Amino acid sequence: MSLKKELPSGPIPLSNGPIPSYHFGMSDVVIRLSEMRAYYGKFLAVDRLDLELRRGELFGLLGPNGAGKSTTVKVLIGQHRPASGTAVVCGIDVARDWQKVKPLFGYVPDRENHFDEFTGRKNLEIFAGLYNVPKSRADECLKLVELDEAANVPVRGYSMGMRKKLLLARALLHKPQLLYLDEPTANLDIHSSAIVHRILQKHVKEGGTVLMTTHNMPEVEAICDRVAIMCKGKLVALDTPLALRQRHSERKVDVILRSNERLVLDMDNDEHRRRLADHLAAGTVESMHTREFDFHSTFLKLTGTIFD
Amino acid sequence: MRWYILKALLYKEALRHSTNRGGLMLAALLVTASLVLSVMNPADGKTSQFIGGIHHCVVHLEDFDGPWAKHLRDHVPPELKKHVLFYKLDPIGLDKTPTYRTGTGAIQVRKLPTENEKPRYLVWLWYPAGDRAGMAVFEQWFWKESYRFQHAQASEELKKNGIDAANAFPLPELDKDESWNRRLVNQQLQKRYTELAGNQGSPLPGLDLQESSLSGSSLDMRAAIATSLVMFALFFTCVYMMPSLTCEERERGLLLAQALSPARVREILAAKFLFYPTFGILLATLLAGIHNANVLTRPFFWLSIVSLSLGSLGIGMSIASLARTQRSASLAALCYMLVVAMTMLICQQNNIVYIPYLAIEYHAPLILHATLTDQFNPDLWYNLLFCWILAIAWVLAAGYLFRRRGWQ
Repeated sequence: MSLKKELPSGPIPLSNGPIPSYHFGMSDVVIRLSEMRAYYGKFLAVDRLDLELRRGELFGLLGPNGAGKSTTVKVLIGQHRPASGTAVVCGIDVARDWQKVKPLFGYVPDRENHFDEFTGRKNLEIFAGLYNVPKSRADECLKLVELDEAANVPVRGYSMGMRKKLLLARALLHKPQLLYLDEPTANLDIHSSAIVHRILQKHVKEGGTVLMTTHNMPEVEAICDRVAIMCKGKLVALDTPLALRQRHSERKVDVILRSNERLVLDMDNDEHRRRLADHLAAGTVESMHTREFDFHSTFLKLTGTIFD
Repeated sequence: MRWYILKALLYKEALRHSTNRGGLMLAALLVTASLVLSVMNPADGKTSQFIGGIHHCVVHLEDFDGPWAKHLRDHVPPELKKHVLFYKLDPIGLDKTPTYRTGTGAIQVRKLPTENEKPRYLVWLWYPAGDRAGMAVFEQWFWKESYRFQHAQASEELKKNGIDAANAFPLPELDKDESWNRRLVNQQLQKRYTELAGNQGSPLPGLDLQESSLSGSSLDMRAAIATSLVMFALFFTCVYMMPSLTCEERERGLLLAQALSPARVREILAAKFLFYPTFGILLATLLAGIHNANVLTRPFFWLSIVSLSLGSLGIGMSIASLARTQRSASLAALCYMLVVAMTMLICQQNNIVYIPYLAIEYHAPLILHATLTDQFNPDLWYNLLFCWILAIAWVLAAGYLFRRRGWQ
């Protein structure tokens, strides 16, 4: 059984179309959400979400605020019961056998939750006791996130970034197969972010799976194997970052004429291409800039923000 | 239950308290107060009567339906109405020393064998040990009304004999005249009647007077303070500290972090149920032992302390499950204590009997105080039983509430 992803061969079509689905071997799938619906009171937070994550994958979950990302993660960690549908992790239904699912994942919340009065090391040792791992594992994890020098400092003296890293260290204590991270690099400097990326990539390389929510577009493009974009509780896109960008990119050119007139011409439109060619031949073009979509623009387009 | 998880959770609780300077300071203050209390012991070793307090008087009447008893019942002044209780005296068991609640005295009117066909009564005053003066207001009322009744009786008889009782035998202004002496009131009437009626027999009953002390019914101030310290230690750890720290963990997401670890909800609960009562019992035992080391050898004391700590834990965990924040948990704990105290006070002042039975705080001081003062009586086993029933009920309620919503 191959752990490496297999993308379809050939160029990615650039037209908008149905979200392509990749057919993975059944044993590769570690997380399966099927027609999952979740409510907060009468408010529908997640609407019929179908999602599969496989072993060895670093998966990004994006969306504007209120899209349903955190709710999805809460369902996976057993903190929110879905109104319908199922959430299955490694073949175990989360709602029915939560106790069996717990040891399989490590969770890094968006808000830090440490015992401020204890040192970083003591915080990890307490949880090491709960996970029944040796205390030395706490030191290993601290070294992994480069907090070993601050291990004996009370957490109340840590910066936001250090607290975030300590959360990651805690999630890694028991070497879980799955990692759920809620904005793991928020408030981290570039160096610390790089450390987190390195840890996550190493984790998936060793066969683990990472699901992370983030608003950091460059991060998504840099490290995620696949990305799901949610908006108002629905899944609006699911693919690799590159494929999404290529599929949804709008090849437009900003042209400023010598008469100070500004034109936006679509290179996929024949008439616009002809007009551009005419202007260029006539020498009326003052300046010209291509407007290729970056992933940020793709995200804004997919989530309904008009970008022009 | 997995021991390694319980161990980790208990270790966490112990560490948290070891860094809680406020809590440690308070525990130290309690111990210091207890030491000071035990050092400031009167040389004669007797209990001090620093504060009296008889708030109820039981009037036990053997002739409950007789005219004298009816007169007394109909002539209780408004300010004493709630404090004077009338009961029929059962002749069976008259030879035993009666027992009354703390802060209660009694006036028994017992029938004696007739003398020359004239009725005789024994008026027996029972007062809490060391608080004879506390019965004064009840005695005054009793003798005044008894005088009024007997004077009316004697006046009727004199009228029948053609004597103008209104002029010859006026009723003094009893409410203004404070100089009469209860010991002489009956004799005065008898003498005056004889003077007026001559050799005719007096209709007035003969009265014998007796007074005795009710041992154990007075409030031993030192023991009361020691009892309060013991109860406070348990309530502080289980009803105040525990919900406050648990809610803090919930607010900061630490309870969730523990719940997401392999620890089951019941294991998290079990660790709290083990740690806080144990800590409370240790502190309470230390305070009790400082006051009276003998209590530590008594099973009744341990049964009392354990039941009270479990009850406190149940109350505290219920508060922790319902309160959303640390602040609301602290306030809820204080409000609970205030509500219970006010309810106890109102019920006591208005002689409402059964409602206080539903509170652990009613039974606990009785059993603890009796244990600390070596004044155990068999009735206290009922209080202990109630305490255990209430404690188990609270623990079950707390467990249910915590599993439903306490950790989220």
